[in-house]
Amino acid sequence: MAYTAMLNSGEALAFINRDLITLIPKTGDRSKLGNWRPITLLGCIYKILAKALAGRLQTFLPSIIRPNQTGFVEGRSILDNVFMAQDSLSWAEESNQDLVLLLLDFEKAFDIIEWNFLFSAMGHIEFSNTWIKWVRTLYREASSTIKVNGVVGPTFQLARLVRQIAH
Amino acid sequence: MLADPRHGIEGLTLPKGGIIRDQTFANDTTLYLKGDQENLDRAQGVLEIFYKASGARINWNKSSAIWASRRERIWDWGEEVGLKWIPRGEGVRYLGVQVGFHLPAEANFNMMLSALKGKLICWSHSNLSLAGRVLVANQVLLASTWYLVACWNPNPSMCSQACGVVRNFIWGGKAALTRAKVKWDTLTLPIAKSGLGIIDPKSQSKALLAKLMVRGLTAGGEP
Repeated sequence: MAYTAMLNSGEALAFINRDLITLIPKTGDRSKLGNWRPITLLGCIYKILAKALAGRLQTFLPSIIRPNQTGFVEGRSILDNVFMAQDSLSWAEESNQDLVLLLLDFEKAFDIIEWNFLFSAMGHIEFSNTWIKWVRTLYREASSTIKVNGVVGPTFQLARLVRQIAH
Repeated sequence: MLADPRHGIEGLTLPKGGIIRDQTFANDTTLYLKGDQENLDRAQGVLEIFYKASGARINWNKSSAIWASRRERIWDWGEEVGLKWIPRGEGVRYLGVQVGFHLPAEANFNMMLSALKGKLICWSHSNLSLAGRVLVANQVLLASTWYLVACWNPNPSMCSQACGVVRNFIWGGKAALTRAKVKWDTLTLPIAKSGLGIIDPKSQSKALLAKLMVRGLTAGGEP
């Protein structure tokens, strides 16, 4: 009920949709910002909604996500990629093909995706409008604060970024 | 997007006749491209379009390329944007495993050893009981190699070297050589059979590879 109200009116969202970003060190020099991973902490109300939506999406993932993406989908394995990369090199030689294996690095993939790109992509693969509206709810009036050294900074509005949420 | 015939991107023909152009795990993306400059240009063009639409940009500085062919590569490509070509016989880390053209087995073995030794640095100074050391050996030391041995089969000499590292830790608590008090084959027996329940890397590797065979045979998933 509360969620339906949220969907329709958008009220109280700003409160629920405010998160706290904190930094977790990766490896390497800690004086470099690039060696820290931002992790988003969100309230329960948000997470329940996100989880409920994710659960529904899960069933359809195998048919939506093309087989070339082996992440996120149950039953697909990271090892497929490893073997393909290893075997393709010797296979190219064996079958007399010229192969260039390009191992690409996407620049901070999760924080720079345009939301509108996601929504139009979802529309394109024929998600219902209701579904997209629900997902939009997760992003509407989203704001964030950053906590560094125990100090919480000022709140700011979010425009892109896919949240990497701590569960 | 790469598969769209309008872009005319040529991939790698697989043994069974299919064509592969790309594969992704989360954001780790690999392109399998027919090795000529025009084809690479076309692929770069598609990535550029994708960037403009989505905002996800390729970091060419952190990307690498491997040339695999019977012929030598007689042209350059991508150096100006910082792309690194991995020479024949050398490897590059991809999804936690070394990948390379004519890659010597040592490349992955060195990864396995450095994983073990990295964990040892943290644990060799702790004053643990034998039971504690067994726990660390299984859950920390050996566990750090399971992912690797799931997709790469160490030869017997590599296995025994890795076992040596673990054995020294169990008996001495350090990396240095120590006299074993019970033979390795007994340690790897389950506790009920008067062993210590150490998981033997050799059998673990066999088991994990067998699991893959089952997967390949049942799902028909292996391309």
